[in-house]
Amino acid sequence: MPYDASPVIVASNLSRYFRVRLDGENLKDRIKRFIKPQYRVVKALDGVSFSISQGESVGYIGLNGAGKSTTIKLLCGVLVPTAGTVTVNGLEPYRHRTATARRIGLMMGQRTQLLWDLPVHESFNLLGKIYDIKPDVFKANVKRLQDVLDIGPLWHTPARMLSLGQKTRCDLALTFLHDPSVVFLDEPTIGLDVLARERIRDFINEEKRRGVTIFLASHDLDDLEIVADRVMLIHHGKLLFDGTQDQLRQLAGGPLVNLEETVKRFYREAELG
Amino acid sequence: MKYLMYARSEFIRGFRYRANYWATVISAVALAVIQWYLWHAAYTDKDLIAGLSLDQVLAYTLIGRVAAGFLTAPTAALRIGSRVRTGAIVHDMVKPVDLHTQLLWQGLGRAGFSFVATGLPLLLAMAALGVLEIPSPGRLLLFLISLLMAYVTMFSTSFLSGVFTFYTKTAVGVDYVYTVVSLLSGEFLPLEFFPAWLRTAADYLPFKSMHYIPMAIWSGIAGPGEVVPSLISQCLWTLGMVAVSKMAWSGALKSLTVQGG
Amino acid sequence: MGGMREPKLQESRLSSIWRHARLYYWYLRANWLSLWAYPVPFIMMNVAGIVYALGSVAAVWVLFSKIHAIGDWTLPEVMLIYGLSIFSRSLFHLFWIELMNTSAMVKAGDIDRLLVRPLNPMYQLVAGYLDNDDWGELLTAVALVWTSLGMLGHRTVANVFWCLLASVSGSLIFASIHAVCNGMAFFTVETGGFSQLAWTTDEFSRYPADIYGKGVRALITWVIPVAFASFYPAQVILGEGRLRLIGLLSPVAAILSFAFAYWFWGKAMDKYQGVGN
Repeated sequence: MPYDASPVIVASNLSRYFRVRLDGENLKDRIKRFIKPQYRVVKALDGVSFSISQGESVGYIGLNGAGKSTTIKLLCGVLVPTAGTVTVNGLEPYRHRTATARRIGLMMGQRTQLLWDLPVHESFNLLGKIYDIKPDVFKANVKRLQDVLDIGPLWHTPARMLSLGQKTRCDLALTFLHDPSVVFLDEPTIGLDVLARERIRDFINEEKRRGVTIFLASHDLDDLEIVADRVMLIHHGKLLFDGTQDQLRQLAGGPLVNLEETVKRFYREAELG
Repeated sequence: MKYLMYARSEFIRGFRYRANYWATVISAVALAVIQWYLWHAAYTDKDLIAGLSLDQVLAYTLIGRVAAGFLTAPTAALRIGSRVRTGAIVHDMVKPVDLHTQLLWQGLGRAGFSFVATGLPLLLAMAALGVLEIPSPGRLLLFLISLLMAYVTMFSTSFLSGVFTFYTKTAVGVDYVYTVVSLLSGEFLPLEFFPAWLRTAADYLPFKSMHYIPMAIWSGIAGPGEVVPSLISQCLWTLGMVAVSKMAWSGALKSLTVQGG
Repeated sequence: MGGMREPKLQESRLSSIWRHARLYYWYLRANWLSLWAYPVPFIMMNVAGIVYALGSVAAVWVLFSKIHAIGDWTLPEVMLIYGLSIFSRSLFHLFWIELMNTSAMVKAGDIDRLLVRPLNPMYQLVAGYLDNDDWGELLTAVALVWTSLGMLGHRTVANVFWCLLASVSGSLIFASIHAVCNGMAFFTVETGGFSQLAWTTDEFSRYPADIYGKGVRALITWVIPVAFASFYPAQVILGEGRLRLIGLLSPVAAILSFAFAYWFWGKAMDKYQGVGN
């Protein structure tokens, strides 16, 4: 095993249900449900178990609404599981939210952490203060991230003037600023062009080499190339596949095109039950 | 008719938010309660203030509370400025409907929900408690006509402010100008309370068509001889504001298509 | 990266509060710089703020020019209460306004961001945005309080100091009410009505609390303690005996109500389900 064997993330039988109020088809139904509401339970995540070791990088693949973001929210302590347990760095994220928060990073594609009206460096300064990063560490990290992600030239540009690719790079840098040991990336490459994706892939590989655990959720199979090690396929809140990318490719028996077919087959079989 | 559909869907939308609805009801009741006590306290040692009796002022302010939800609904039109900035306006432009008319009807649907779900129960409750007297059928009818015109004037004014923010590139300040408008419209106090010069100013501005006239008709502050002239002036202001806001919008559209946004 | 570091589980409450307090400077700084990012709207906003202030002065003036007394209260007494009410309200508006944005944050999923940072979520929400368009109302309030104290012949250093303290504590009362109302956003997505309800309850603080009936008065003293934002503090200057004593307790009432609101907001957050998935 190339990884440190100690598990960083352990999820067992992790489930999260939501209660959704029903709207009603017509006016009569709506008025009826306005007076006496009706609910439906949606199982966003249903009994998922896995264990991720330090330094491992995982691609968490699923269709829209498969439960990817819910999983990330559970792992970050944003949501509390309906059933099952989860630990990150040996702690239940929800119970030890602050302690967990210091050691994880979260990037949500399309939702920037940058202070919209201010030059990029102001966002870094504020986040440095928020995470209580020591001045010398802060300096060194900024230097490193500026170099790797090539954001030095953007340093004095107001965030609202950045292109999507530039913004994504800055957001990535912000996510890694406080030396998190685990980083969650939710659709980080959404809307990016090929070159921008390549840059992000290189950066994430670099961070992997530094031993950071990467958990990348995406609906895009191409993102598997970014995170090479392990793939988890999730569908309707259930785990369909958990293994190395090679294993998945073997199942597919060929290149990415076939991989797509294999994944589709997984989904179809899951639909049939 | 498609515009009626807009109104209908907005009306139905109101049923989605249940807890929100109760908060709105409590809010409306609370504001009516404040007005009731405030004016009783203000009239402890007087029979008339600014020539108005306690009953008249109470009728004026309480029916104002009933109509408040109906009249604030069109403020959504303020958002067209931000739709222009974000580019969402393109969706409005490609649709084969007139934005002014569409927003007018959507607002009317929202206003209708607010009136049926909040205003009307409040009105009936106050009538049952004997707090608010319902006027003669004739006055009631004229009140309703006047209220509808007040809505259209209110809508056109907020639409105009929305177009205005398209030129200034910022919506900042519009809300505050609104506060001044609400003072001049008589929402805060009947215009009789104003000093003479401010009263004269308010009489020559369109704002009193947005609140004062319907409430004065209901409460009897507008005497029998004043109702018809008020309605005529309100009607003229309504048509005027509709025309001006439509013109401003088509002007904005033109510069939008020429400059490409 | 080697084995797991022993995580720092608990930070002492005191050091946590100190950390948050120090950080507030950096938030203020970022907010202040953001306000200046668009100089023209910034100036326009302040001009609009002055127009608004003039409007509210006009409203107050029109009201008081015709009504010389409300219940048992003379004009300067009513002005003092009204002044304290909008003093508290504008302080709330300047520093706490982002509480109102809870619903929008929940809808957009931005609350999640607050939860993955090692800081108190309500603190991050409140500190994350500074409003700048209510200086006008603050000025109006100061003018009202100052004038009414003069008219009453009570313009002493101690009274001025008390009015300041009372307004800060009053702003905390408003913050509590808005925190509870907007905290509903965690239960139900659409909270425009609740937000409006919070503003409505503010109105109860504008006039002397004893003009209301017994029930309403008990309500605004014990349940939604807006009377502690203006009426009771004013009694320290205007009243005597028991009423004055209650007035002196206003800051205590403010702290208690905020403690409850903070607890409620936290509980509501616990229930928060997360939007979309």
